[in-house]
Amino acid sequence: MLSSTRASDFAELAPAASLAPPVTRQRSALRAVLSLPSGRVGAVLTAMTLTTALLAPLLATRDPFALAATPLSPPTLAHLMGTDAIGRDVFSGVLHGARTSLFVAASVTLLAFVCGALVGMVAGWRGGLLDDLLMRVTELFQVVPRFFLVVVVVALLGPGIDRVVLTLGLTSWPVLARVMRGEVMAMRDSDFVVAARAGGATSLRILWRELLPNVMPSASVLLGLLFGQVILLEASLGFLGLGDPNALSWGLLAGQAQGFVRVAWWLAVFPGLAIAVAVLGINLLADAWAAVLGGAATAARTAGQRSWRPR
Amino acid sequence: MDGEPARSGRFVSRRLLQVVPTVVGILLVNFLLLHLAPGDPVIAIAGEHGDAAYYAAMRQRFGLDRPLPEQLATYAARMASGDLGFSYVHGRSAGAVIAERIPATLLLTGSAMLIAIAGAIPLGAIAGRRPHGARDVSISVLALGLYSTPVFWVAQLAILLFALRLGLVPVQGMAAAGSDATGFAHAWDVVRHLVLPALVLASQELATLIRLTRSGVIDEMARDHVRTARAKGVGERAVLVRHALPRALLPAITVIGARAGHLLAGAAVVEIVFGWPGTGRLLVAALQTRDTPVLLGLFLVISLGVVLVNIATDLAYAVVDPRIRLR
Amino acid sequence: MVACLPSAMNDVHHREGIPPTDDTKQVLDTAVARRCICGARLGASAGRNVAGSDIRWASRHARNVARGGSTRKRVGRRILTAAGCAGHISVPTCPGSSLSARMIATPGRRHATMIPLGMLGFLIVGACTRELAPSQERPFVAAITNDPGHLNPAITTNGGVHTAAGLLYDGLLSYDDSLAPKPALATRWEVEDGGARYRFHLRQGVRWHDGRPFGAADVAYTYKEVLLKYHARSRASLGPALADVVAVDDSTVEFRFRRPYAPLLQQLDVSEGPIIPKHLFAGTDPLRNPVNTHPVGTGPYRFVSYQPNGEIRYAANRDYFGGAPAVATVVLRPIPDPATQVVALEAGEVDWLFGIPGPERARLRRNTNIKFSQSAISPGGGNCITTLGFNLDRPWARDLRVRKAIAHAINRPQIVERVLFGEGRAADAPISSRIAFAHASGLPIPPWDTVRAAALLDSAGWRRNDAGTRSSRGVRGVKDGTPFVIDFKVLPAQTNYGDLIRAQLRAVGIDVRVQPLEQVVFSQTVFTARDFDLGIGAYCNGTDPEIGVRRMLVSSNVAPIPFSNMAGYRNPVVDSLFERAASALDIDQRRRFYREIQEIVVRDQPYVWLVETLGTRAYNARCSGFGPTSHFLATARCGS
Repeated sequence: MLSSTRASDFAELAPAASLAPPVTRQRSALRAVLSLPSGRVGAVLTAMTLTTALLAPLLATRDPFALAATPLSPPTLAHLMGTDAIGRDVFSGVLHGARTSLFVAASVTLLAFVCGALVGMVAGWRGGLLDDLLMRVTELFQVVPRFFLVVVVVALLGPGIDRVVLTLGLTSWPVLARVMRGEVMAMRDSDFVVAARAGGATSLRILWRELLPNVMPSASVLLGLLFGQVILLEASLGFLGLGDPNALSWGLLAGQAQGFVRVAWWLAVFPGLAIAVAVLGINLLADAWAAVLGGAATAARTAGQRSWRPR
Repeated sequence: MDGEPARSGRFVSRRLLQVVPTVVGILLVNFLLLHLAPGDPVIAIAGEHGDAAYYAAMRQRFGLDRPLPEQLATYAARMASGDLGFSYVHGRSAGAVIAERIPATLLLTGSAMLIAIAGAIPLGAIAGRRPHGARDVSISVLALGLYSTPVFWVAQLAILLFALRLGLVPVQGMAAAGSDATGFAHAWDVVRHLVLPALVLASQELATLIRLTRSGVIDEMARDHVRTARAKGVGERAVLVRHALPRALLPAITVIGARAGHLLAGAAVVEIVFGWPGTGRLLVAALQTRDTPVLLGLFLVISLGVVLVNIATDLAYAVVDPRIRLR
Repeated sequence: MVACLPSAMNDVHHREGIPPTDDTKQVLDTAVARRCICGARLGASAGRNVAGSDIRWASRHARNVARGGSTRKRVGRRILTAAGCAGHISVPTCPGSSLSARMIATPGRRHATMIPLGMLGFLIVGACTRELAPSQERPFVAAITNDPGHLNPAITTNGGVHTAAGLLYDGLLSYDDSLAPKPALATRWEVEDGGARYRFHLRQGVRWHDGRPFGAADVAYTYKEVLLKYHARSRASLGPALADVVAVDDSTVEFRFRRPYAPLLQQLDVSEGPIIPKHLFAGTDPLRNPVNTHPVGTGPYRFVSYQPNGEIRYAANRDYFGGAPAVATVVLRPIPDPATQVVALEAGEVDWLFGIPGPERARLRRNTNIKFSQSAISPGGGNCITTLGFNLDRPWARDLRVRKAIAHAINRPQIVERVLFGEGRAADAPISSRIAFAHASGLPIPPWDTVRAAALLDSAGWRRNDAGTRSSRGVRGVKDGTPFVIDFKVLPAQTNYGDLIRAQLRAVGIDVRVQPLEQVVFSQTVFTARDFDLGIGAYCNGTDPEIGVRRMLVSSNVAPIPFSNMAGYRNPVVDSLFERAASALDIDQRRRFYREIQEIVVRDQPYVWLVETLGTRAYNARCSGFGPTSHFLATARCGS
């Protein structure tokens, strides 16, 4: 198993030793996560980002595309983050940008999860030739450099949110697939699965009802990390001028600000800060979650129990 | 252990064989991209200046009027022989253009990786030695902070601070403009220009490697053999360096391969900001002029590069961890 | 190893019925700690020296363990008692020790300080050796935005190639500051047959950079085999009119036209008609000739090298007919990021920028080391007007009221202020104000008036919804209820125009989707497929309306060629007026024709003429004497 599942896949998880000691026997997942300092900070930051995105139309009273005031004016009470080169309010732009960036990240994460779960769990469950074949395919997708593929696709087909989401989503699932495959393989012969099979459940039912919930925890850590990575990738695309100009996103704002770094610092700082806060928050949360899982897994292994379920 | 060399040899050859379907897959993706692009593929290959007769001749020469599977075979044969197409923007073969840029990018990414490793090992070791201590928390927060910031941000701020404000390093380029220096003087010039871009690029990888080394050290320090060593009275430093660190570095080594693609993406952005003449800059230029042979050729070369790095790290990992290669 | 410990542990496990767990291992650690601490008490059984670092580690470790749960404490205490060590699990002290808190460097810490110190030292050394570069005459460094790829300006109108290669070649003529033609490769000329035949007498003794003599054969070859096939502007303007280019003898060349062609003298400089050597190109495919990357020309500079690191190097041509340039070496350095270009200029690493990002201008003007040179000529052409084009094939655009409404909704002074940062002026006529004889003033260009725009849209059948956007009611060719959404295709460099115009049109309820497309895709989508609602382009007028204005307004030029008649405007009256203006040689007559043309097209509004652009170049104050054209360096000199 080791030769086709590389340690590099698990390295990203590093569940045993994240920023917190293994936490055992906490009553609920949420409390477990919140009991860690990294979890608390991460939760706060992520909650801030999410609320901003959801409430953007209420919080930002102006239309982010409309011309508001004198261009390139520094932050004032009326325009909390200043205005950009053609006079649009940066604050509204950052708030609405949260929606776009988070939408892109969520879509990519969802797509990657669906593909990864399908491939990984089926490969882990079936084994044999199908497993080999699926692993070859996974390797192919893993090797393809995502960023360059998005650049090529945008070059050939033009910019657009849909292209970016599809391209990133269809190339980000390999690590997920491998990890889920590994977990399914490890759980294939455990008591509860054997019991379910003996009880006459079909493979599909077992995969869906028994294995998937138990695979979710470690998968969710990876998904959290992927979320952050997509936000950063989207920012780089915006910097290169490949963002969709009809959808305000943080990457687009950060890219437009590059020419103004020394004249209007607020144009580059606020979108960059928003990106950093969102990515940091999600990474801290994923970190804390991994710690919780690490402790729980240790406890479960020691006690020989059925895998731990979040209550 | 005399079965071991034979088994190792089998492992190596098996690993190399596993690469073949991946390479075929990459070629397929490239081919599909060429044909998915809107517009006539012959224009992408032959430039936009021809008339009907010219295009007909080009179509026949590149077999574009053949059925798709046959086209795929021709395409694969061309790629295998190194013919990546002709770049009308550059007026030379696309392969030559790409090959010229590869050394610069290798220099940049190689140095960045070395710096990242050299920095991550001690920092990760410090952090892992005493988890949740003050040093650990500060190092981990720094690592997470670096990981969460976009590369171009860091790059521009670094230029403004170190190059312009403090004047410590040059602003851009790979060597001083118009310099005729050769030999050692030239090498020194390149190194001076390399420092800031490599540091900026390394900052991205540093974060991941620190976290991995740290977790590796924490794991290893809790293991029995380390405990035994301590109980035997081995000094703390020796425990860390001789017993815990070597095995702790394994996850970091393997992840280098997985991060190769990510590193190259960061390198593209860094090359743009610093004007470093590598493949990333070529990519963006090819994007703007829609120089399709160079675009696709670059994509192919970079994918193959990532495959090579993955193989190398897998082999390195197998060398270090006998459990893998004796299967 | 202290013998008592393992057996003690086993005893406790047996007695307490506690399975060996991680907890026990933690306890063993504590026990080891205890061993050090109690080393003195256990006396000879310890049997080794206790190092200070061990003690400190041990006490910290014990503290960590002590913070654990109560079970550990209980088990721990029992084991330790069994091991014979007195005391409790609290902060232990080592009896008889006289250790101070001496910092013993651990390997990690040493490395940690070494690495940043090393890097800092490296940076400092680097800074100090900055001036140790071999001292030679300092080359003149110009920053360009892209690698041009190749250096043959006759086969492309790519601005990057023309910028980089302009210094290497000449045209038959050149232009001075007032854009009047001056001799270059041609010393004198005659116009015959009412403008249907031009004869040029070429300069004697001109040599190509490789030493071979220049002659009329080169001119004929360049025009017939290269420019008319591959140079988009020449193909569009000269192609239909030119019958033949004949080398009458070695130093005379004739241009023979099918009909009188007035503007020829305005398009013979190095950016419109660069001459390339026949002896190196004849019989080859000009697009694939390796000479393109090792160019040979007649210009003030000759090619030295084009290195993989992107740098292009030129040396002064000592035998240049216009006099050897004073600046001996020129280096062109590609720096893609405009912000980095500016920083490099300020740091003294480059001496010349071909363009400055607008926001930096104000700040750079305060820098006394940097001077500016403004010019309406750029390597892509001169006297450019950024123009918005309607796709007249689309039903919504056929209604004149809608076009007028959009023209009223656009605030051109605001575009000059926010997109051009003041470098330019609002266009007040379809012909650039710098073509003085043809530019018409006082035309009824629609002023910025959002009220008027809204009224026109209402009357055209585009009614406002509650959401503020508009949808159709009773518009011919459009289904009722269609929302008014315009698809606006731009080049990536013009995204700012897109954003600002989108905001301005939103104010009157028109929704705009901006779509940046790369050059090639833009040409294919807008000019070939004609798949757009609104397009934008910088139409460079050149020095005569025949060069740059005619192509956008005559029906014969609705063609799949970049920067042809984007709107698809077809008006036979305008067509015939252009014909007559091109043939007339009397300048007043031409002025009258062009005035009539401008009145008609302003009324018909197939385009919205936005702004006239100027280019600003910035340079290091150590140099001076730059010219406005591609040969900007020919007259320059630099100090230090």
